[in-house]
Amino acid sequence: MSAPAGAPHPHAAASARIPPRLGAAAAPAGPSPAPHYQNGPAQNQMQFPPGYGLHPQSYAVPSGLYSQGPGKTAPLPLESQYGTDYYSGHYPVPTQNVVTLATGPGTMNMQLGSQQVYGRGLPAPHTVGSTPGSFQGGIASSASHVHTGIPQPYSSFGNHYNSPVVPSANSSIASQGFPLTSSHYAMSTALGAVYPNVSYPSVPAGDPYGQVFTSQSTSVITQFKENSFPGQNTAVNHPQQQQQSPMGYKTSSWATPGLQSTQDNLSQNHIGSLAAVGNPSNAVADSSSSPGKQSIQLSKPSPAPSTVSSGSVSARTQPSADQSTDPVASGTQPPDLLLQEGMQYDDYVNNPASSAPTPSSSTSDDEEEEEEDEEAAIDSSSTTSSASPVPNSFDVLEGGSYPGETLDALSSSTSSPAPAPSIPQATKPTKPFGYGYPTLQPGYQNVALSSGAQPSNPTYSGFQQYAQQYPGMHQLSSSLSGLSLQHSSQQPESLRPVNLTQDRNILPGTPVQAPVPNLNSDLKKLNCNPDSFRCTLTNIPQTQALLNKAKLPLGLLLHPFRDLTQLPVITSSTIVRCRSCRTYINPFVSFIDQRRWKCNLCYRVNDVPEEFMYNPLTRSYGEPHKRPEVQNSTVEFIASSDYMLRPPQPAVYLFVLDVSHNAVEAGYLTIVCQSLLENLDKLPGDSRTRIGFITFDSTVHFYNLQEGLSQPQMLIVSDIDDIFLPTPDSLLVNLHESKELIKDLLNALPNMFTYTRETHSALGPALQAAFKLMSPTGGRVSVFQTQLPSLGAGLLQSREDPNQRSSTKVVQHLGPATDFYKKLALDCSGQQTAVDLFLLSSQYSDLASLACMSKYSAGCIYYYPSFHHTHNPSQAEKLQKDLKRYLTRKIGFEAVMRIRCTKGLSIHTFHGNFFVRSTDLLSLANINPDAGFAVQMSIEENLTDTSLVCFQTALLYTSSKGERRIRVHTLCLPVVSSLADVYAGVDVQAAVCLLANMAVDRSISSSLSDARDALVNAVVDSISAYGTISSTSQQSALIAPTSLKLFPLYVLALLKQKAFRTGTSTRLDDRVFAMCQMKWQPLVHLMKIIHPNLYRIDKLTDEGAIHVNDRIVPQPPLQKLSAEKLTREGAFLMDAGSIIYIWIGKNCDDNFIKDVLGYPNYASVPQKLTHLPELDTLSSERTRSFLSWLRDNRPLSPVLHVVKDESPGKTDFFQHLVEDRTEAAFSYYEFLLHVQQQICK
Amino acid sequence: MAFTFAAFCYMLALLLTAALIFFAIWHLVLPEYLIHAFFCVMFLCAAEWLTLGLNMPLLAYHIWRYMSRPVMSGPGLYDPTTIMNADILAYCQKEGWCKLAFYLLSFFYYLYGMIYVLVSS
Repeated sequence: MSAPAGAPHPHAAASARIPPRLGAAAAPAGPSPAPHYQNGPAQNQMQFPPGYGLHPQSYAVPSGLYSQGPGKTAPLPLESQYGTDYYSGHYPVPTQNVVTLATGPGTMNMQLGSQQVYGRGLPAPHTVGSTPGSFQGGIASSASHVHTGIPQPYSSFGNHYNSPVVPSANSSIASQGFPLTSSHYAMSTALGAVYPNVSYPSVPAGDPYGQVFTSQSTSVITQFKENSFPGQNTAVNHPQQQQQSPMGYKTSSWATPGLQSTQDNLSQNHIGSLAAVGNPSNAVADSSSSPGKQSIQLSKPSPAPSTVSSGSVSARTQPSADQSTDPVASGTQPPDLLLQEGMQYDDYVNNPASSAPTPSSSTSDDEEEEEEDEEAAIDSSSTTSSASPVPNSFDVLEGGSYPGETLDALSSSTSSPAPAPSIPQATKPTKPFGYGYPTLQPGYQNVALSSGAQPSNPTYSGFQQYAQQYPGMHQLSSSLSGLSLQHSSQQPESLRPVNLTQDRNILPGTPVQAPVPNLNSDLKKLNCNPDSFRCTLTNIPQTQALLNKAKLPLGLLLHPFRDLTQLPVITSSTIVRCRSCRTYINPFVSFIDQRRWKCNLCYRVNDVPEEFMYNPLTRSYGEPHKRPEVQNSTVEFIASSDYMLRPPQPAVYLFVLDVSHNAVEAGYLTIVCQSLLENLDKLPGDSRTRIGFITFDSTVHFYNLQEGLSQPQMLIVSDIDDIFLPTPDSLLVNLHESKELIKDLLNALPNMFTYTRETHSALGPALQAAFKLMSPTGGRVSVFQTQLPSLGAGLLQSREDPNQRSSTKVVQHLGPATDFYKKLALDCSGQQTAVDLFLLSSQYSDLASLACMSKYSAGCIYYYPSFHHTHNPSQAEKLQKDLKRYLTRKIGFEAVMRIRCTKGLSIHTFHGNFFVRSTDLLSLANINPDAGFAVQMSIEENLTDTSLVCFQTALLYTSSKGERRIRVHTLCLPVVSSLADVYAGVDVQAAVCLLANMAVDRSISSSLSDARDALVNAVVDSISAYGTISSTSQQSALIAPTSLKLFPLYVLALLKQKAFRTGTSTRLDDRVFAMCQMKWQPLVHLMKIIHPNLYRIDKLTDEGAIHVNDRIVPQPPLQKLSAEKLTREGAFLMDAGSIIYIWIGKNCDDNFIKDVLGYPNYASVPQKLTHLPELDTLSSERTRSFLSWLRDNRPLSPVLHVVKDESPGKTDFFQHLVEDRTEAAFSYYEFLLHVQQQICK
Repeated sequence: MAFTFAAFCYMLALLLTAALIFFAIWHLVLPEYLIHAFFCVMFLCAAEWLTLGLNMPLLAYHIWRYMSRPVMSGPGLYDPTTIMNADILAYCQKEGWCKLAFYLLSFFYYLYGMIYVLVSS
């Protein structure tokens, strides 16, 4: 990976500079920040550590080691490369130097022990002058808690990962093997013993120096000694562990760097100790390195269990005679596969493989230059050795959703997920899974017209007859497109002309569904779920000219990491991909014969690898088309080490919290700390999970949470111009080992800064520190900010002129004021770190600039305007719920996403939060299930010789369990050559979302009014272009096809969004946040924001209700967003994405108010009501079940507001009624007239 | 025939244009702009008005281009976050080709100009 190596990290230089700086900074730093924190007996440990001067040396040595070490030891070239590139640059300062010798003068090293400082909440075990004895007690108690929570993450997060990681077996490997944690681990083993005599007895403040000094220096010695021995031990132990673990590449790849770093630790310790105390334990490093080498060669067993469908595989078995050929098709039998089988893998269970195919690293197959530079460019893609007749290292497992089951099923030693009770499986007769042989691929057969029914079925017995030729298809496609209009059931409807100006009720009563592409019904079944993958035009125009004529945007809307209930997960040593374009095999490829398949993106003919011939579902050989990869358009692969540039990183979370006066006043800290405490065990991750905290006001505070301390230790760095990490290795600590300390800290934090008077905010330096802290591993940084950054790098000025808020002319300052945050984000992105921003401000905070830190590092942005824990309880509640979701949701690290499409199409622009690394590759430091993306496409070459196009997104990520996985979605769409067909296939919601994205870009790069004009023009152009082809030539009427009838309404709604509206007072931050949401929200959520759903809820009935989890959810019809629908007798619910309003009419039935709201009449309903009481009445039950159903459908729990006529939320509610006129914007009808006028011009 | 300052300017421009041809291909923006501005000044000093006039539009374009660059603290013209967008990329490429053509033509023009000045003086 070029990024980590390419950004040389000046760490060594920086730390070399530390001593002089510290000295210099001591004086100015002292007075200002100190007073608040110093009043306790906490002592400043101002030592000038002898170790500092020697840092450069300690750097030199590890890098030397690295450069040769891996070369000798690593089994994979990849690793060695990686090892040198990646680690040598960033290896942090040896722990021991800093931990004990600690902080220079600029850093005040204080303990949380003192009660004065940390207030009552803290269960401070020591009082002043406590003895080591009591100290030990504290440790013991904390130690007992440390490991309790470990297994828990597995159960709670199993649901999508159904983790193949076996906790017991792996954790040992992970903990010792993983390079960056290893130092911690090494320490942790030692610490229990070391700290009691070392550490930080609370010395009476009167005389810190003498005593501290001595205790420190002894501690140094002991610690170094202790430390080096455990380090050695771990190294020596490795061979054993690896033998135990059957984990194939994982073992080897993890172990190697682990050893290196262990060695490195040793040598570092070594030097540190030499420097500090002259500890002469020279031999340690050498002795430990040799076991390391040995151990590596031992590794590489890979038992790869294969999977078989278990008994209850769907009952959709069909006789294989079901194949139909196409009588209409010309001479040859069109060879394509009919691949029908939905995502039915929920019942698969693994079967242990009979043999253990060792990947033979020299394969003929492919130079895996794979996914981007992300994968090593080596060739170990490993076909299985041909010795065993049955190629079998293959696993399918269910896609999650049954964490319990998975967990139970975990057997102790396999690396494959869900190795369920495998013995019965072996004997179980396999169900015929697929359907015998394929029929045609839809586009290629004319029968596609007859809604997919296969007319005749001469049974197929083999592939021999297949002789698929694309040129043949070429001729067919024209007849296809010509006929499609008359024959497919969907299309005539979508083309039926609608007179917009006359038809007043265009909004359907049920939520708008994505149009289904006009494909053969079998391909329809196989096609990707529209929630994950949608295209604005479900019929792709054949040429760019045709697209231009249609005046519609062509693009994709992606939600690639969506939470799925069913996802086939495939473990296979060979991931079958096209050799020229690297497309993953998918349901839309065609098998030419049994041994070859033709890529549907580049049309190259590829060989089917031997292993792929075996179908683990049916346990049959020679049916590659029934493999799950070919039966599902959304699959997930467990990637091999070829897809890694470095060992999978652990989950690392860093929280950067604003603790200035403003922040304390707003009171968010309590909520954040509370949520974290509650969800600490649910944070996704494995035993390597690490966590850290930074707080900042005008200085930056770090927290030493190293296991073994009795109290969290706060380190204050006031030198914000040149920020450094006081103790780099103990700031990010293992979650499980230091859990007690973390809990202590979280309990103490909210009260620590209660009386602060510091109003400044040094966000920039805090972020720089966070970057330094995270850069060795990558991970997630969560920044909580409450005001405009006012100090240090990245400081911002207020740019908003409140008088301009409702200006109709120019809206300025939509772009960033400085590129500091952007550069920081790019640096972070290069180090696989994503920055998530929570902005909780009451005043202008220049979100336009701040948002850059998340935009380009693939983070997410949350904004809570006028947040206050007591004055604004609904925001506080929202924050709490958002945090719960945020902390517990799935997360993928060090991800890249590549989008491939059929030759002839190309990607124009990406929208979303990411960094674009090359024209089709997005670099995503983190990926979360709530992130959506949009892609504009263009047609570069005519698509005349094909009748189908495919889009494939491949998201390669590291799961929180340290697994490398690839999630692949494939979407297949027909190509059409007539304009009418293009209009017939418009997905209006997708088009509007894409337009919104484009408009955001336009308003930032050009101006808001430009963007608004462009939006209006999009409507005008598309409808007038349709007018030219529609047969009805009424000049006076505004005719649109049914597929586009909502287009003007949605665009009008877009124009009335906070992001784009003019004339209505809109705060700049609100506007910018709305823009960020448009870029970042996936389509389903964005549509609710753009065009909320309005329901009448005072007369809910069970008519048309649906059943969800044994509950009856009423489905009231949608109302149009106009005040004319709001009768005073009714109650209405508006679902606007992140907020839900319930509006109650003045004359609303008292029964409803009593039954649902729990108040006797309208007048007694309070102004601010945010909860519905749980009442035991039918209407209450219905309302609540409807509401909770609405809430369940989205990731971020929306806030509920009950709105009465005179309540303050009324204006907010009414501004969502987009069909009505406001003082500054058209009503829907006026807008139509405006459009019509423009067309006639 | 004398080796005048104007001839020297042409000769220098000739050499530098050869460099510019490569810079236009490689998109080394800042050196390119500086070199171009430099020999524009030289021509100004040498009072070669026609040549200066031919170069003025490009100089003005360079200045405009640099003024309207994305917000960034360091020098540079291309924003790494947007450069991969197809329209911006296409624009930059087209710009590069146009400049390449311009520099090629001006290379021969300077050659001609140099000889002309040498011969005529």
